Amino acid sequence: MGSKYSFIRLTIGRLYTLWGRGLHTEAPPVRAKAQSLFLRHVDGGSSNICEQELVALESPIYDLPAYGIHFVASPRHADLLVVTGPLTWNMLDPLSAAFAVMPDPKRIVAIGPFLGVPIGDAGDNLLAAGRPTGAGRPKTTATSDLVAVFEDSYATLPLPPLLADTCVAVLADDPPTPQALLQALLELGDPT
Amino acid sequence: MPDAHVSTLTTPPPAAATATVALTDQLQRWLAEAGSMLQPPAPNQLYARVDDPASLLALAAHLRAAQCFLVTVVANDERELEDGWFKIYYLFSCADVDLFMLVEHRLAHASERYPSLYAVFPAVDPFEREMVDLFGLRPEGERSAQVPSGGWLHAAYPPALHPLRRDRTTAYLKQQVQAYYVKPARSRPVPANAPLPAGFMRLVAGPIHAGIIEPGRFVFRTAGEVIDDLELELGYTHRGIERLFQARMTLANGWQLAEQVSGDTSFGHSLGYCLAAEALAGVEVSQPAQVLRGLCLELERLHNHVGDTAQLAHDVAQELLASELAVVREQLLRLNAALCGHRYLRGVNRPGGVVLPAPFDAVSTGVVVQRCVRRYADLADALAANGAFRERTKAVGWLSRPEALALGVTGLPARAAGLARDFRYLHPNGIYRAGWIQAGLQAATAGVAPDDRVEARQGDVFARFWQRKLEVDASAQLVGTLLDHWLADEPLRGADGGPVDLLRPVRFDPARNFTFALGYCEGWRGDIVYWLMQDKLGRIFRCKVRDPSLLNWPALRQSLLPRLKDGRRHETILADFPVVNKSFNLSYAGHDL
Repeated sequence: MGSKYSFIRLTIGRLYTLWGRGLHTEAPPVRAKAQSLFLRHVDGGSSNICEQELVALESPIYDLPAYGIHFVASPRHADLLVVTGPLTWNMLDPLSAAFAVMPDPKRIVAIGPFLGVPIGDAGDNLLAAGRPTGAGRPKTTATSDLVAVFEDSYATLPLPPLLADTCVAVLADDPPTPQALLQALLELGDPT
Repeated sequence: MPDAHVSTLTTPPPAAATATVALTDQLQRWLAEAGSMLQPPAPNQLYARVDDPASLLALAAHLRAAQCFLVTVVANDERELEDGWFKIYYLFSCADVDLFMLVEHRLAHASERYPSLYAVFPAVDPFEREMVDLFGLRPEGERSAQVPSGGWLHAAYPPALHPLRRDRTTAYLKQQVQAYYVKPARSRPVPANAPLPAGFMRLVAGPIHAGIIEPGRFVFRTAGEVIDDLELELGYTHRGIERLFQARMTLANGWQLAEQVSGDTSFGHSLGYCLAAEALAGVEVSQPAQVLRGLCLELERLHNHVGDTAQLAHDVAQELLASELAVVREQLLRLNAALCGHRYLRGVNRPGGVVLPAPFDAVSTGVVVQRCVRRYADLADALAANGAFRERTKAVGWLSRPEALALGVTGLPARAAGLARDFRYLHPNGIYRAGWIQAGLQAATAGVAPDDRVEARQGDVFARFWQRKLEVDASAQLVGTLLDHWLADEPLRGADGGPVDLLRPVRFDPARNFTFALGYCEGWRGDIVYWLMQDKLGRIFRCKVRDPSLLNWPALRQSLLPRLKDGRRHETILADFPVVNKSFNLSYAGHDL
């Protein structure tokens, strides 16, 4: 992926964004990358809405691969496990198995109303240091209410400690917009 | 002219033929013969209680012969209520008339077995599997061996948990599940695989798949490349939603949980729930709210069909078309966000009406929809004309009309197999009952070229794609009609500026405690049906959610089996499975709840 093509890709991406005349017309920030980031997505029991936004990240408008970030087919090839939640008991073992085969260094990004993870104001991503970051935007869903509802369910559980310890970002909105996802992934930096 | 609006809403569609009256009478007679007639929750329903197993089976045979469809099966723990034991409610829909048949069956006292309708209606299979796990109710006789437990509650759950029984608290359930999992020396039952004949192989895929997709486990039995059978193991996204309706939600705010059932169908599910709650409260929403509900339902249909087409193109490596279609979908999602503040139309429905956070701009909505649909039409035509795409999708994943009828398939896969199954025509409610909308729907159907219609009913992957394209065209016309109606009518537009609040007060009468009502709408995958029973203090006694995917997963399996087609052996190879699965695009979360 040479640099001469990234300029063309970015220009096309900006033209599509202008054609859309949507709410957000600015292109996400470009960062110089030393390494690509490989993501493996696992649905821990979500309502499939977060998956729709993750799929949108690979469309030409958001164009995740332009930043060297790719979704891969196997956890063995991945740096980052993107889990959408809440986590259900039925998905606990498959998720743990997927995490176990990921090579070190490995991290997790939790997307959606997970139990037992800190939630800031809607639209913020919390990095592992506990410092809220990311662009604030109007609250569209009462995510903390949603978490409280799922906490009562017999079928959901918090992320197990082994996975929660490596969690570097939580996007608790349901769903976070592709802009918020892109922002969080670009700000994550090098996982090593 | 406010009265004109009222009259268009309450005027029924053009009078049906006398055959319809004869059918209604006959159904009523069968129901009365089988058991005792009861007062139905709504005028387009017949309701009977049938306790005798033989009568129930006879009635089911009559209904099957009359080409009725099984819509939903609701098990209910009524041990604390008047009749004192478990009940199962069957809901059937007439194929040609706007008529539902509700059959209530109380299980024999102190028995956890019920007579199975599987021999007559194979569509009960997923419901019976659900009842085994969630209630512990099993069918009588040999059928019980065909209904395994563990479909919804996998090995992580203690046996005999039966979470929808009301004699245990939600906290107790949670504590039981946690205790079972941390038990150090737990032994999980390992299912024994049936021995395979020589030359066959078992291939397990899932629950985690190679793409960004929901979890489900597919166990293929293959002979080389050819798929011989498929076992579906779902339930991975089971979040206990029906129990949460009873435990955490009230009738007034249950729509928030309904939106969580299947995220891409947020609006359809919240609409089904709100219609059920409004039926319980005896409230009909105002016409402007109905227009907006129709509009949002069609917008949801549009963005999902466009997204599905994009994913289908991606699956056959037509990446350029897939990318362009993804851009169109993004524009539709941004339109949703501009309309109601959420890209997937959450937070719009309430029992009593709709709420929008911003003024509704009908003109620009219409412009964006027409522009996107025109672009989609060009791209879909390009995809359809693409030889490689046709090679991958024609005569692949074929589901015939008799098979669809036998399995009780509903929604888009049924229409693509040649069954006319659309609740907007068949059981219209809300704005779809208005004469001018029905005329619009008829015009949209009549405007389809005969070749297109034939291609869209072949039952293969191409037909499910082409059916989506035709539905996008029809939805665009409906959206145009709805917006024209909105702009033309002064009373509808109301005050400009400020958020749109079209709510009628809703009060749940305690006299209606422990009665139930139905709410249904035609979501983009198929008909969504909510069965809602009111509890004391405005809470929910039982909410049965039925996403169309529950009925349609067996259709996916059927479309892959090797069988005869036009005298020749029709087979599906493993490499075609992703395309077939994507052409159905069923909801895992909607199935698992």
